[in-house]
Amino acid sequence: MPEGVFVGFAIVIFITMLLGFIRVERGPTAADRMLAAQLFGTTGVALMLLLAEAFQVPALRDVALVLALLAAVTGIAFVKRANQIQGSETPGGTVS
Amino acid sequence: MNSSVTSVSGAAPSRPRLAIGFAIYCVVFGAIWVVLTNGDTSSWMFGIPFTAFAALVSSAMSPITRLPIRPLALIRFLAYFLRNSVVGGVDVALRALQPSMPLTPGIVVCSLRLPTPTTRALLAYTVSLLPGTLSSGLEDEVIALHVLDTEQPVLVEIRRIENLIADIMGIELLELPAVPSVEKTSQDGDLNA
Amino acid sequence: MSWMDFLVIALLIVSTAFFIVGTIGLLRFPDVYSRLHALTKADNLGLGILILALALNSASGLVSIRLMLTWVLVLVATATTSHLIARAARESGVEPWVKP
Repeated sequence: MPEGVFVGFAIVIFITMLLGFIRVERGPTAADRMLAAQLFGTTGVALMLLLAEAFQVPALRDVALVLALLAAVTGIAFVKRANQIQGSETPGGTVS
Repeated sequence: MNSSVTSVSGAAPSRPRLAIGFAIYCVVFGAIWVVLTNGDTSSWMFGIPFTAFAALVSSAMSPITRLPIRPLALIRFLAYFLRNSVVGGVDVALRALQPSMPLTPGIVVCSLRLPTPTTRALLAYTVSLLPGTLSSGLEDEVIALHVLDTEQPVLVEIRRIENLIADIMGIELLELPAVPSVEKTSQDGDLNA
Repeated sequence: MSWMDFLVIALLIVSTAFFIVGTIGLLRFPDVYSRLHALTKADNLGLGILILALALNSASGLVSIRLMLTWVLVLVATATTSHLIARAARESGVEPWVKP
């Protein structure tokens, strides 16, 4: 498989991520900006995996794996932190 | 009711049964090690002691006496999940691409039959990845869902996922309260339970 | 190019299409809840198909399993974060958009 194929797909996915950040930047609510965590988690992993093939750097697959792991943790921390900034009280739900 | 997944306070499980739990942890952690190290045999010098240590700590922290899930039920759940992930992706794609953007969103609140917080959380996380539903709050046994189309039979799916999850864990579902616990806000429409 | 290469490329095209659609939904949908629907469903399916394509393309079974593991982790991350974002939005009083 020619590696250029993967580079092409990586570029397209990178563009979708950049366009997604328009929404993140515009908001209008704080929750809209939290979507950044989501967007970055999924498309970021996709990009790393494509680049691993494109440039034959298997280590990037491990980067993707760690990014996926971190996405879970940072996503949760991000939402908790953003909640505090907003000044809302500690969420009262049973499941956090 | 089945014996619970993790041993609760009370009679401590016997030694041989705990050894089964330790063995299960060893197999699971060992498999993860092999996958993460790409099956590199030279890494086992570290892998074997670390796997054993992690399994020991895990057995001490949350002792198990049997496989906490039913493999067959898990496969059924995964099949359902994969099929509906595709349906959900296509569904949202069609809505986003049509110029008229057909959305009739609303909040649906319903009571769950799942007895434990863990299984309820599992359900809440699952529905967010399935067609047209997004969990937006879970308080005890009541879940608030944001749905893309209030005309869709959301509750049928919720009941189905409950059955699948209860099967995996080997637990019984609770009876629903006699009072209709379903209410819908934000949007009129027909809810078929 | 073998028939497998064509299959891989076809899957990559479908996968990229879902990423594009996810972003379109993110930009077009009327409120944060609907946007979450677009992101969670479309992007996760896109990543799943991408990982299927790369797993088929890979010669090593263990690499394929590791790719699947990556997808599972992303699914867990997405599911928990989307639940938390939706809850945070409701708690801060963001009203869901209703068809006028």
